[in-house]
Amino acid sequence: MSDTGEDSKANIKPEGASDPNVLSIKVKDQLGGEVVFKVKKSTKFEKILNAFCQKKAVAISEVRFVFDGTRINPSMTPEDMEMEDGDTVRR
Amino acid sequence: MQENPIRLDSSDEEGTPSPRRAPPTQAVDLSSNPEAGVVCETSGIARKLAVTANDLVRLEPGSFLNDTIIDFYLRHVQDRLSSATLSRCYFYSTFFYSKLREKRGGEIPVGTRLKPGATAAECQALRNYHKVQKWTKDVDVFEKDFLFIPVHHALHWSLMIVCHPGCSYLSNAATGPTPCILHLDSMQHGHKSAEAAHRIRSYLEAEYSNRVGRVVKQDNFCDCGLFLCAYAEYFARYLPPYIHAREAYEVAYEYKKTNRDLFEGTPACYPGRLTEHWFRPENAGALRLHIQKLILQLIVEQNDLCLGLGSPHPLWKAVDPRACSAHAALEQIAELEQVEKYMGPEEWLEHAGIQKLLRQEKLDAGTSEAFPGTQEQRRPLPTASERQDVEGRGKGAGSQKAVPASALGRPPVKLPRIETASFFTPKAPASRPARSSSTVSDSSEEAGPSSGGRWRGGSAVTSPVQPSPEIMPIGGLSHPPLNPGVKVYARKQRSSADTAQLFPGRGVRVGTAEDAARPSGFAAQVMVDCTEFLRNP
Repeated sequence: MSDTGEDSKANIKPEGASDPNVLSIKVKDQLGGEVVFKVKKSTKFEKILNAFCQKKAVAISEVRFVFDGTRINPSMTPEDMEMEDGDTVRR
Repeated sequence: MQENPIRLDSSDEEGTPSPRRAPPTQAVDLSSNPEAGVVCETSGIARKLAVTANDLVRLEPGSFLNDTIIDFYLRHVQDRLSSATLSRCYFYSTFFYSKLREKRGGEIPVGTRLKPGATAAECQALRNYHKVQKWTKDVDVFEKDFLFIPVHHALHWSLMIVCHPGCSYLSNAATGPTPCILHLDSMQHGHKSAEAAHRIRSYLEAEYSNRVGRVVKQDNFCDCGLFLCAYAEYFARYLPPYIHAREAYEVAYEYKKTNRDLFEGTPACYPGRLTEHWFRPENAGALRLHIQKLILQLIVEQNDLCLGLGSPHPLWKAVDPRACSAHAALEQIAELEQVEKYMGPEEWLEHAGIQKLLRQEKLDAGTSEAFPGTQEQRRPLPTASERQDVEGRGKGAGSQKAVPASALGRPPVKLPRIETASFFTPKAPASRPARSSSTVSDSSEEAGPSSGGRWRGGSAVTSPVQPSPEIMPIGGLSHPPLNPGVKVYARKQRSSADTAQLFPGRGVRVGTAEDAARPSGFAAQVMVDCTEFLRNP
């Protein structure tokens, strides 16, 4: 038996923005709630995820964030993940 | 629920840390800040994985492994594979199965034709498929030979290996790759193979399921995650050239009688692969320490704390107290490893060979029932004294196993486990041929004549329990009567029209005239050309 310690997952959805260096990123949780962040491509995910967790009042160690099936590492940036304008991810 | 975007750009340059965030340099301080991000990296940016001190706690004795640790070790396994081997495998993330299992959420793209009267479960399966569709956008899973899928449900871990998803289903072939799903579950009544395989199958629209029921089992309640890791490593490090469903089934169920391995006599043979003699259960327990060591070593490396493992600089401990905890833990692990050290598939290979030889000796000396084909040379059943001898040794091995692994030094060669009950079932040899022929005859029409002979003698030892009506025998297979307590599930037959409607335009190929010409067992099989599925979504 085992336990993942995982409460909710969220998908991240980059969307088109006017400035090529600015992305709006949607963070969805499992219940369908979503928060949109406008960030630079070089912003670390740590910042986004921390803000999301604070807003949702959950501990960051208890949630996992996934983009296209890849776990998001807090020290990475949207650029590293090759998120692009107009790229959409379905849940 | 749409909300105004939150701007994070303004504070980007200043880098004002949120109270929750910890600078990465504090990562090694294992005790004071459990949420610190300890980053242990494997190659490639996209595959980086953050292991935190919180996750390390999951490796304490008796605790359950979490998804991060499983992901970490599976990546470690992948890193050690040669590129040729790696290109034949695909490892899914630990979330994959949970996603397929979700009961709500997701959407079906506009324009999808749904099957009339599709049940809610089928619609949800389709929604779940679209949740994970993009996960494999960069990889064609049907070009792979083996897909490793960690399964997590109800506080338990197990491993599914999808073999040859791109192969077409030609069950008449006596050998060679066939598409099948191996479910490696270390617990007796762990996950339901049929349900899990069904979900994977409706994801893959693959056709065939097989359960290998007798792999190494855990002997406690908490090691399932470690067994998952060990299964994956042992399977992937010595990747078989192919898996034939019937061969794998036969080897797993007949192993203690035949001692015959997959690919016996070829370099691809790994003694005990996919059977209960694959590795020792204590070995998977020792994997706990091994993973701890790997992570701690990465922490030391990535935080520049390394001044030579094992012989730290005398001044260094005073200089950097953070390093103390990591190195002290490493020293402690080194001590514990002297008692029980994890043996990877390479180290275990030699021992496995010796064990196999020992088992063979036992088989030769104890009974000849293992070799049903040579009935003329059959020796008489063992005398009472011989029986006692073997049983006594069997009991000795059993009692040795009962001692906790930590209290034992690693025995150089462990006595093979003898399951005396099945060897010496008091059955009259005369009644055997009649019974076996009657039980096999139900399905023998489906199997080629070449496969029949090998099965019959071996199957006679097991009690002739017929599968209950709702459990169907594996389609197209002639398998021996089932042991009580071992269930074999096969797919429920679904018509090709259903498949075509549920997944429109996905290269569903209905059985050809050639298929129809086969015996009745095959004609009902839906042929799905998996290679086109997902490639043209």
